[in-house]
This record gives sequence, C-alpha cells and structure tokens, in this order.
Amino acid sequence: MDTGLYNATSALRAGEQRLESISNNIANVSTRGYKRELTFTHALRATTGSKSTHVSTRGTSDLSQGQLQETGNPLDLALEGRGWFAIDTARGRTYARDGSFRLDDKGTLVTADGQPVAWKGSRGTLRPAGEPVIVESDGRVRQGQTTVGQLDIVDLEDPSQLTPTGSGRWIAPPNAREVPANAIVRQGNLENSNVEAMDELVALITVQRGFESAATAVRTIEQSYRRLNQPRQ
Amino acid sequence: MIRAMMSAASGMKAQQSQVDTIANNIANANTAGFKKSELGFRALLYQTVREPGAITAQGQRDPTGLQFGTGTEVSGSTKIFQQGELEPTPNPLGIAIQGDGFFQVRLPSGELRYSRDGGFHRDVDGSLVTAEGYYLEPRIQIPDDAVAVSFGEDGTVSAQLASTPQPVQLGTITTYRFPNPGGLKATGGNLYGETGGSGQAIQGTPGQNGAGTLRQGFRERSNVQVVDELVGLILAQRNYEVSSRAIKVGDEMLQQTNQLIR
Repeated sequence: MDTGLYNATSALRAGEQRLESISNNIANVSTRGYKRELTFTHALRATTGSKSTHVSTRGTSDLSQGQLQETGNPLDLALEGRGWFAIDTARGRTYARDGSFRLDDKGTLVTADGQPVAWKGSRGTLRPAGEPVIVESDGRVRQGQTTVGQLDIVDLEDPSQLTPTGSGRWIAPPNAREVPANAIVRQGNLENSNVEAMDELVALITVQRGFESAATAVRTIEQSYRRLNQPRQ
Repeated sequence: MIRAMMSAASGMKAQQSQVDTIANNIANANTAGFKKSELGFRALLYQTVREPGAITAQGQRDPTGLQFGTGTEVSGSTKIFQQGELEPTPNPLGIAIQGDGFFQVRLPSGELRYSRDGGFHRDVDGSLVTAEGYYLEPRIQIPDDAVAVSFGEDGTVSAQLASTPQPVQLGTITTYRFPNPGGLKATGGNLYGETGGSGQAIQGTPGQNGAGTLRQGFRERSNVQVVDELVGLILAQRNYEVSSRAIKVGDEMLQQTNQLIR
C-alpha cells in the first residue's frame, strides 16, 4: 500500500511539473523565435521485482519551425529550416532563432539587446546611412553593390544538446559539434513562437484530469489506511 | 504550481501591454507621419532542475535533463518606420519624404527633434515652421512678396517673387538618418529624439546615398493598417484568455491537493 501511495504522489508531482511547462509555453505564445517545451514522463522501476513505478519527468524543446511573419524591416531575418544564428556574447557563443537585428552606431549588426551577430571570417560592418542592405538566402550580406560578408548560420550535430538560457538564447556544451546549416534566410521576416494555443489547452485538460485521478488514488489509499486503523468492534 | 501560475500571469501582463500598444496605434491611424509601435517579448530565465548531460547512476549521460521557464516579459517597443502612403494635401508647404529620412526641427528650448510630418507653415517672420510653430532646421526664410514656393526632390527651396521674373533659391532642406531608427525616442507631437540606441543623426541630401526624396504637395499618412491592428487585438485577447485558463487549472489542482486529506 505504501508503494501505491508513493506512486500516486509521484504522479501528482509530475502533473505539477507538466503544468509549469505548459504555463510557460502559453506565456510565450507571442515571443519571437520561442521554442515550445515538452515534458514527458516515464516510469522508473527502482529494483527488479518491485511494484514501485515512480514517475520521472524529463524536458526537451520542440525545435520545429515557427510561422514566418513579414515585417518589412530589412534587418529582420528569419530562418527557415534547421539552423541557428550564432551570437557572440561575453559568456561565449550562443545561438538564437530570433533574428530581429539592428545596427549600432558603429555599423555592427547586433541583436535587440546589443550583442554582435557572428559572421563567417571577420565581422562585417555596414554603413548606417548607406544604400539598402540585402541579405541573401545563404546569409551573404550586400550593401548596394558591395559584398560585406556572410553571416555565420550553423546547425549542431545534436541539437538536443542545446539548452535555453532565457531571452531567446541557447547554449551548447563545449563538446558540441557545429555542422553547416540547411536553413535559408528570409529577409524582412521574423519567426513567430511555435506554441499553438490549442495544443497547450488540450495538454492543460489532460494534466488536470491526470492530476485528479492521481489525487483520487491518494484519497482512496488514505481511506483504506483509516479503515485499517479503526478499532474492531 | 505557484511557478506555473506566475508564468501564466506574466503572459497575461505581456498581452495587456500588447493591447495598450495596439490601442495607441489605432488611435493614431489618421495622424500624418505617425509610425506604429510594435512590442517584442522575450522568455524569462530558465530554472534547471536537472542538468542535461548529467551522468546518471548507470554511468550514462542523461540526454535531456529538466528545465522550467519562468514566463515572459516585454523586451521593448520598436517604432516601425515603414513608409506610409502619400496623399495629396491642399497645403502648398506640405512636403512628404518618400523613403528614408527625417526632418529636423528645433524646439523653443533649443533642443533638436526629428519628424516625418512635413506639414509646414509660414510664421509671421516668413520662417518655415511645423504645425506647433517649431522651426525647421536649417531654417528656411520665405520673403514676404513670394508668390509661390517650390521644393525640389533634392531639397532645394526656391520662390517666385512678385518683383523679379526669375525664381530665387532660398536654401536647401536637408534630411537626417539614424543607424538604428527603431531606437529613437518618441516624445509625442510626432517628434522623435535622438538616443544612445538610435545613434547620432547623419545629415544627408534627399535622394543621395539611399536617402528618401521630397514630394511637395503630399503628406505621409500613418503607416498603421487598421485591419492588422484588429487582428493583433483579437490575438492578444485570446492569448490573455488562454493564460488565465492556465492560472485557473493551477488553482483547481491546488484545491485538489488541499482536499487530499479530509
């Protein structure tokens, strides 16, 4: 009976954790380049022969493509397909899908929070008040007739190694290997969040009902205990 | 559970700011030279419960780990400097910029501001001023006996005087551009101020180096597309609802937890 109580409690905990990730997804339904979090639970069998199936929660990100939205701003870049913009930060290289870039006063292409975008080879600079900037689908940047360079758009051999750090940035462990990306750049577009409110609502219902069942199980077991403890007449 | 409810609440707050921005855009759908604002959101920090790649008991690496996000926040508002439609105006001193660039005006306090609204007028001294009476900088003086004033695409201002048969040149209107116009600070009254985010104003001649040209007798309409804004409003409202739903579910689950032991 003890085992049953622990199993049901771990299901309650798993329900709570799933609700946390669903809430976060819903909160980020309008966040550009946001990737939905998925939690899945799986049974852990502590020892062979034991009836204990403790439920454990794991999280992963759904890296599927978000919808592209046209903005008309030439420095808004969206990636279509697998790949990441590499961003140089003080803490090292990070990866982003949100391509709402701008120029700083020195003509460097930077993210909305002022971190420079990484280029292949040396970092290109653009003239702030010059001809229109054109970004080709492979990341090559031209200003008027002058070729400025190519943005460093990369993919990781194992994208599941990426972990989100907030603000639309992802980091990879030091042993992660970069590979050429197959993503194409769409200038004048931004990638929306890949959260679908409908999916999250369905998940919300499932979590709530699962939680209810587990709660009922806990209550039932608790009642059995109570009956056992009652003095016999 | 509390973390889930806080995340969902941050989503509701974000959608509320979205509605505020959209309302201001819609209110200015008919303001000449108005540029719409857009809000950006970003995900808040993640809390790591279990590090991905951690070594599990069997000496194998955990492929996924467990992280929880903590919601969203507004990362900033950006002015979208997309060209508004040009429409004819009966004001002969009305000029619109077709393309990139701003007019520079001087406030009575001496500060410089930038504007896309080119509905100029003549003040008592003959100077070219905005509807609020601020001087266009560099200043253009129109003589009293001018019969007609014309603005060239490149910014040259000339006037036909009653006394002389040949038109005389009065000066040149220069336009100003910014490394990052999205970083300009809107100060109301259709004016923008330079900030550290926008970079310093770069003086230019209309039509040169990619700067926009001037069009006399036109005014630039607001670039707000009411249909787009209404769609945004519906989306914001629905997303608000979904977030409130998540809070409700969190509340109900807490309630059930409280009823576990009666």
